[in-house]
Amino acid sequence: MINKHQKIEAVVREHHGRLVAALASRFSDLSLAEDALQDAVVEALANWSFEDWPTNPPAWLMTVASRKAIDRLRRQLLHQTKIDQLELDAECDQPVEKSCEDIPDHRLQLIFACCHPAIAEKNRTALILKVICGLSTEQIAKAWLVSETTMAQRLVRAKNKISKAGIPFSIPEISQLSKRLTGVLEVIYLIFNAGYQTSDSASLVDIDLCDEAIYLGKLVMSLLPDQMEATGLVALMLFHHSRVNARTTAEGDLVLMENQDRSLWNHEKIALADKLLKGALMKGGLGPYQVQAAISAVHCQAATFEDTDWRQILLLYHHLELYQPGPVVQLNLAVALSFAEDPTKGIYYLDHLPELRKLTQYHPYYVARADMLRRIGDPLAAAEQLRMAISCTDNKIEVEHLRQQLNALDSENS
Amino acid sequence: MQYLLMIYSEEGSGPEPGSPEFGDYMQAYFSFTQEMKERGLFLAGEPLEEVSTASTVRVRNNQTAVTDGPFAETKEVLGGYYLLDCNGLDEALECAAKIPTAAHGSIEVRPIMKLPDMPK
Repeated sequence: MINKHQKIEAVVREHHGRLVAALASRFSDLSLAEDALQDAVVEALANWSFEDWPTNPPAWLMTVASRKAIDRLRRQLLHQTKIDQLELDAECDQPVEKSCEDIPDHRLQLIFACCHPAIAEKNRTALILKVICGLSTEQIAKAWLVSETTMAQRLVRAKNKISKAGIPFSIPEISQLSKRLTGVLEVIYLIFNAGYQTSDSASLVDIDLCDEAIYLGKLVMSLLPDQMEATGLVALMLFHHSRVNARTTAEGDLVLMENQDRSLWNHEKIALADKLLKGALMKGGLGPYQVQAAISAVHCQAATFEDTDWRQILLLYHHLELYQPGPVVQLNLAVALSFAEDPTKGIYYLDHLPELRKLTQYHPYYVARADMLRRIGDPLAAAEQLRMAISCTDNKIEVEHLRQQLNALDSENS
Repeated sequence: MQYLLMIYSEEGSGPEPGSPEFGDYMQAYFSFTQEMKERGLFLAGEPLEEVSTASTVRVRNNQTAVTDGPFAETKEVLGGYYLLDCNGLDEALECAAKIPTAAHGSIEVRPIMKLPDMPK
C-alpha cells in the first residue's frame, strides 16, 4: 500500500519533464522552473489527500507552480526595481490549465538546451536526468559515483551556463537539426552505456540508467517521428537491454554472448526493437545507430551462437565503418571477419590496421586477439594477450572474468 | 543579448602581411564585419596592437604596479574583438565560426553581464 507521499512523488516523476519544460519556456529560466515546481510539490503534500485528489494532478501542479514562479519573481524584483510589477500582474491572469494536454509541450526544446554542445559533456547527462527524467541530485550522484556536492555543483554550473550564456530553448533550425540531434542521441547513449556497465552492481543503485535512457530515447523518437536515427537508437538500446539478464551469473560474473542462455533474453523487447528498426529502415535516412541496431538484430535472431549470420554482420560493420571510421569499429569488423571466414584473416586484418597503436590501451583488442589465437590453436600466445588485457582494465568484474579465461587456457597449456 | 567575441591566435600564425593570402584574409574580415552590420548585430569591433605593446595593471595595498606584457604567458594571445548583439548563444556561435581567425586560432564567446539598473 503506497502512501500519499509516494503517490505524489510518482505523479511528479511521471510529468516532471513536461512541467519543467513548460515552466522554463514560460519564464525563460530553468532554475526558476525547478524551484517553482518544488514549491508546488510542497503545496501538494500539504493539500492533497486520497479523498480529495485533484481531477488532473499535473494541471494542478502546473497552475500552482506558475503562481509560485511569479511569487518568486516578485520577491526578486522587490530587491531590484518595481517597474516590471505591472507586467507581472498581467501575467497572473493567465489561463488555468484544466488538463495535461493544456500544458504546452516544450520538452524537445528543453532536451536540446540540456544537450547543447556549449555545456560540458558530463554535465549534459546529469542535467537531462535531472530536469527531464526528474531524478534527484542524490540519485544522479550515486549513478555516476560522485559525491552529492560535486553533482549539485555540476548541475548549478550547467543551469547557470544555459541562463547566462543565452542557450536558447528552441528546436534548432533545419540546417542544424541533424547535427544537434546527433548530440542529443549521444547523450542518451552515454547514459545507457553507463547504466549497462554498472547493471551488475545494480543492487547498490536504486535507479536503472538503462531504463531512463530508453525512456528519453522513446520521448525524442515520439517528438521527432521523422528522424530515423532516434528510432534506430531506441531499437539499439532495446536489443542490448534484452540481454541484460543473461549477461551475468547469479554470482555477478560476466557471461559472453557465446555462452549466454538465450532463453533468458527478453523476447518482447527484441520483437519491439525489430519492429522499430524495420519501420525506420523502410522510411530511409540511414545512420550509424540504425546500422548498429541491425547488427544487434542479427545477433538476436540467431537461435544459438553457432547459427549467427556472421557474413551479414561483416557486411553491416563495413557499412558502419563508413559512418564511424576508426580502430574501434575496425576491431569489431575483424571479429566478424574471424567468424565469417577464419581467425587467421581476422588477425591479419588487425595487424594491418593503420591506427593499430590507438588500440594498445584498449582491453577488448587483446580479448579479441586472444580469442582468435585460441581458435587457431595457439593457447600460449592467447594467454599472453589475455595478460595484456588484464593490465589494461580496472573493472573488477571484467578482470575476474579475464582471469577465469586465463586459468582455463593455462590448464590447457600445462 | 550582447556577446563579446574574443579573437585569440598565436602571433605570426596567420597569413604573412604582404602575401596574397593576407589580402584574402583581410577581405574575409571586411566581409564578415559587413555581414554583421547588415544583420544589425554589430555593436563594436577592433583589432588590437601586438601583444608586446600590452601593459598589465594591478593594485595591491593601494599601490599600483604596472608590468610589461599580458597577465599570463600563453601562446595564444588576444588579437581583436567583436561586440555583437545576438539572439541567443546559437547565433553568437554561428558568427564566431565565421571570423576568419577561427580557422587557425580560436574565438572565446562570452556573454556580457547585465548589471541591474542603478537607482536614480
